[in-house]
Amino acid sequence: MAMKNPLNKRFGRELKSDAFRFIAIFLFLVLFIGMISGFLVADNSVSAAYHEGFEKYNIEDGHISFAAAAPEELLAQIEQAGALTFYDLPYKNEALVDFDADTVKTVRIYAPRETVNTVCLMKGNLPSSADEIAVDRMFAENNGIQPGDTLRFAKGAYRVSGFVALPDYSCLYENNNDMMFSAVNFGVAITTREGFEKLGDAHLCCNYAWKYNTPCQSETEQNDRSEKLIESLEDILKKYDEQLIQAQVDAVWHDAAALSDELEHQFERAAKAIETKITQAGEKAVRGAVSSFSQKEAFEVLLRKANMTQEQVYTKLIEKANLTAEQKLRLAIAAKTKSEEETMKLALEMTGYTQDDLSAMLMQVTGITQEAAAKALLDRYCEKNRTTVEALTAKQLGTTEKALKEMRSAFENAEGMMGELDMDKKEAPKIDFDKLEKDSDIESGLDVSFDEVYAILDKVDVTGVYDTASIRQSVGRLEKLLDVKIDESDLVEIKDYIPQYLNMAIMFTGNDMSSDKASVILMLYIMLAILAFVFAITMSNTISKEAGAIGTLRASGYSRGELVRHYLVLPVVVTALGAGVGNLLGYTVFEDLFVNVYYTSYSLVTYHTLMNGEAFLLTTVSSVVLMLIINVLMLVKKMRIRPLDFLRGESAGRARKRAVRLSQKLPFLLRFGLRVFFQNLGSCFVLFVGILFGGTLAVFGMMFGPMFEDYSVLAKETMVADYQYIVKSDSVATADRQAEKFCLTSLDTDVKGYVKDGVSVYGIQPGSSYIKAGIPAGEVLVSESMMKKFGFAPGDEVTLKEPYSTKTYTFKIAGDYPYLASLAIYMPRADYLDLFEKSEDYFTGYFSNRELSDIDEEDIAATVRLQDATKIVDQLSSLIDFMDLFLYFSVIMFLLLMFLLTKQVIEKNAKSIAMTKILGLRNGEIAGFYLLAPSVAVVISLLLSVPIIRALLELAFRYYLYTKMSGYIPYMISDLCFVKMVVMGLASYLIVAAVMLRKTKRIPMGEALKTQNL
Amino acid sequence: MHFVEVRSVKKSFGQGSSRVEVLKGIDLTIGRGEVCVLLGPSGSGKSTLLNIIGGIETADAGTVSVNGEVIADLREKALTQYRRRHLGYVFQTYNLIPNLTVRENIEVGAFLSGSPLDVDEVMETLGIADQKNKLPHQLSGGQQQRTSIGRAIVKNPDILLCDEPTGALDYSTSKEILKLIEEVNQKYGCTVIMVTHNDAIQHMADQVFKLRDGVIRKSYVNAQKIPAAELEW
Repeated sequence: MAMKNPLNKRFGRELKSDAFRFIAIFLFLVLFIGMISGFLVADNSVSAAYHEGFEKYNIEDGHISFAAAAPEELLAQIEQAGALTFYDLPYKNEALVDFDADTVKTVRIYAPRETVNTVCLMKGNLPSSADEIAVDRMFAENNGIQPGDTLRFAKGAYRVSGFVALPDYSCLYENNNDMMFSAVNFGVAITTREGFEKLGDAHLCCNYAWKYNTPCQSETEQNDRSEKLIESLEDILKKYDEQLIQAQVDAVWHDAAALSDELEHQFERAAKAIETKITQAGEKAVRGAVSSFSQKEAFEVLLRKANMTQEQVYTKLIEKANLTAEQKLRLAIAAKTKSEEETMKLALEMTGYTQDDLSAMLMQVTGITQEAAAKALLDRYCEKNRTTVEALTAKQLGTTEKALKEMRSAFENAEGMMGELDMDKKEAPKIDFDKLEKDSDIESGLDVSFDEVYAILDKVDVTGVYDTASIRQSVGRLEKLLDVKIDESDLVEIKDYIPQYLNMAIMFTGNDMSSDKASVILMLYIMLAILAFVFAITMSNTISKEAGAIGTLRASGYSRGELVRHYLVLPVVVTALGAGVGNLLGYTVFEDLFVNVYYTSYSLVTYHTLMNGEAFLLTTVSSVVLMLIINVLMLVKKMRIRPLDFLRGESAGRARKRAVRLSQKLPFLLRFGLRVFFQNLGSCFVLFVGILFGGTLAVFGMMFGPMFEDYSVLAKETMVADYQYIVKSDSVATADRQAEKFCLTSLDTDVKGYVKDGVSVYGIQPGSSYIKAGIPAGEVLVSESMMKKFGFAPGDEVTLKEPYSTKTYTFKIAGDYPYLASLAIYMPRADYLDLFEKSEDYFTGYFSNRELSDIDEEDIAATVRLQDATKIVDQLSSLIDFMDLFLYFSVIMFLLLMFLLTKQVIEKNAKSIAMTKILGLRNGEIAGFYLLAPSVAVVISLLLSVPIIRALLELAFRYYLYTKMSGYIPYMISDLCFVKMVVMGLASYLIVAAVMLRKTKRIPMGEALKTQNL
Repeated sequence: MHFVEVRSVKKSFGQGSSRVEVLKGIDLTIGRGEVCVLLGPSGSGKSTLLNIIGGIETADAGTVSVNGEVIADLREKALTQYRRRHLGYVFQTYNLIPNLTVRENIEVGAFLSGSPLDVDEVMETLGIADQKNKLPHQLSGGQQQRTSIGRAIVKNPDILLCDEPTGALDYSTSKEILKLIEEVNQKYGCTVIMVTHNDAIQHMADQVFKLRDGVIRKSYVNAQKIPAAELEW
């Protein structure tokens, strides 16, 4: 039987003689690896349950919410376009009543779910009556809600029948753009159909989950499909809305056509009536004018018209009158002796003619028509009275010639206008949806000006010729009909669109678990590497101590390999044992701890512990391998030394460095300390790395509390206004003069490498008293938060995306604006109206530094108050408790490393310490000599760590927090954290130094007298 | 053919002006089972020569062969094997492993050998059987050196190399140790090469090589060996 290597017998004794060190390392490993393994097992088991949940609970591929219930045919169109199936998944956001006076607790209540996102019952029962509700387990636990409790909402009370986990809310994000979820103030719940109806429709959200007909194979595919779906959605909704609006236009057009037809007739009738009146008035005027002449005057007028003399007329008359000779003679005498009038009178007597007969005869004789005669008389009348027929007609109608003229010319124009108004013959106008503004009306689609119509009627009214009341009534009706605003209530408006892969409530848990895993494994390896170096340094010192024996063994024929293996055994066995026991504890004690951590952060479905080969591999196997690699490298290097050099005690090998020259001017103590420092450079370096690592953990554990506090103050200080009211329409007004209107819309970021963020885009009035910075036209000011988060600089361009759409906007950055509470962009109001195609009087809300009491609650869509600035801090603050773990861990690490490495320094120099004792130095002096180097190393390491940790954490912030989380928190670590870290390190070292001082005292002087280099 | 043959071995240390030639061409042969003493003052090169024969130092020139095998030709691994198979080492500083008992320290030597001697018998021979469970620091210098010799001979080596084995010991303990070495040589038949600056020890040797300044000034074969017990100085 082969003999066992007798060197193996050393192991037990080594362990015993250095029990404290090995136990410390072992316990540290057990604790550390136990926790890591526990974490990995928990992570794996919970993660498996989480991932299986996608299939088990048939988690949606995405969801879309509309402002109102979407019509079936619309859903069918989208289903066809996206090759998907919709499932009705409505919910209502209800605030808990009589629950917490200080904070609003919102519960998103769902109707029963049968097909998608099915419910996982965690405790109690699912609701079975209209008075029962099952709430999310985590929300319930965070708010002390128990099964059997009663929850009250505005429209009813429910008894809690049990706790559930909704697989689409493993992480309780109220809004997808929230930086952090809040399971304290937001929860989900499920009730029966009747229970759901009971809540009323005030807060109903018409939400539809979808599943693709063929499952997506990758996130890329999900992304592609979602992008395509968004495009199809845009088209479908546009067409759908266009149809709706067109139908409204057509309906109005139909009614308007009938009305316009009637109006046309009314106009025609009016025109006729007016014309008749004018004619009659004209005739009457003419008649009046004609009759105003005496017979003689009329005769003279006719004579002039016929261009004849009176004599010629008499002659002709007498010829026609068959007078006797006597009569003719008498007439001739009269003509010569009497006036013409008398002569005429005589002739009439003789002939028996009347004046009319005379005139008729005259017209007959002269060939003048009745009309010509009348006209001649009229002309004469007008000439004499310096007037016109129109004036006479107008006068007759009781108006002016001008008014009459204008009325008539207006009527001539009305003919064309009536053609326009004759809608019956026209197609209803086609509405251009892209140009349609939200507040536009149907009139904008027609080419009719009612002002023209009213102008005509006004002209009629001025003359008083016709009563336009009935026409006015018709025009008014038509105008009113056409002035009807587009009814947008039926338009389909997307309120929410989130494909699964972007849904934080579904995906964050999984992403967080895997990123947690990566950071934890990184932490494990850093820690193990540090421990491996601690072992390596310990072994190196042991080898130095045992150089003579090693030299003898080598000279006697022990191979390097045998010795390397020998020295490897302890570190590897201790690591393997620590890792093994740690792993066992991981599966038993620590798993529960971390499962609890997950279950207190996330609303997860039920899980089962899974054996985790990976956890074993990562913690135990790789720990041992890492320990092996680092120690093998060190030992192989160490064992390269020739046996003879070992025998001479030159364990540092041939390349032993010469002593560093130190000035004699330096105090002796310092030179001594420096020599010890140079002798222990390796230890000091590992100490530095360890302190850096422990310090990073410590600062990480401490920084968030002060950071959140500082941020709260800053965020409040930089708030634009104490109140921001978002009003429901731009007709909502306030009398408060300090309030200022603003325009606001929300766009999404689309910056590569960063998660999507919501950005508030403000349109600011010129000379704003709230945004006190000039914004150049065509450019924008970007909030400091956004500038810092994305690393923008003035002059850069930022492109933002319209939510649920492919439309993008690009802004040129003029500079930053000191605002930190969220991400925002400020642009001049004019640019805003132009860019988003808004009307001149458009606005979204008011900035105010006072509460605006004159705005009705009903008119307010949302209010942002000062305390909302720090909402994110309230959400994140729940994480701070967990951070204490890092702090405890870093203290243990400080103590362990400082202890192990300082102990090395003392042990390495035990013989010299004994010698100095013999020489008569006091214990205090000796401790000063030998503890100076580690003390200085600790202090320098602690101080040097400060800027490095600051930079490291900033890097982590920039490359992890900023890219993986939405929203913004400025990177600001309170200096106090570093002070605390340094004090903590120093305090740890003081404890270690005290122990070492004791150890130094206990080194016997006999140590120096040992002849062996052992 | 001699068991150990050293031919024209030269060795120097250092570079340039600080170069010191420690061995300037050494020739010697040692027969199997002989006790050979390398005698000389400090710096004469005797330890270097021993180390070259022991394969833990290499010669700059010349050859060393043991049982016909030229050790200068051996690579590191083979050299380790050579030492493992053929050599036992005893040093002035005992170089015991502090946390192994006397017995275990001797077992460390036995472990290296394919045909080790009986550990208990060796301890009996060396007179340390009573101390077998003690740790080195509980032993006197002589006991520690006995243990160190035990560790060297338990592997039943062909050659026992002793570098000033009594250098740190008092007169009587030194004699005890020398007696032991003599006994071991006789009992187990191993060749002993012993380095010493103690003139008296040369009398117990079969062959003596006196070195000074890196050369053998004198060598002779003891016709009349004196047993170690009778040595006086």
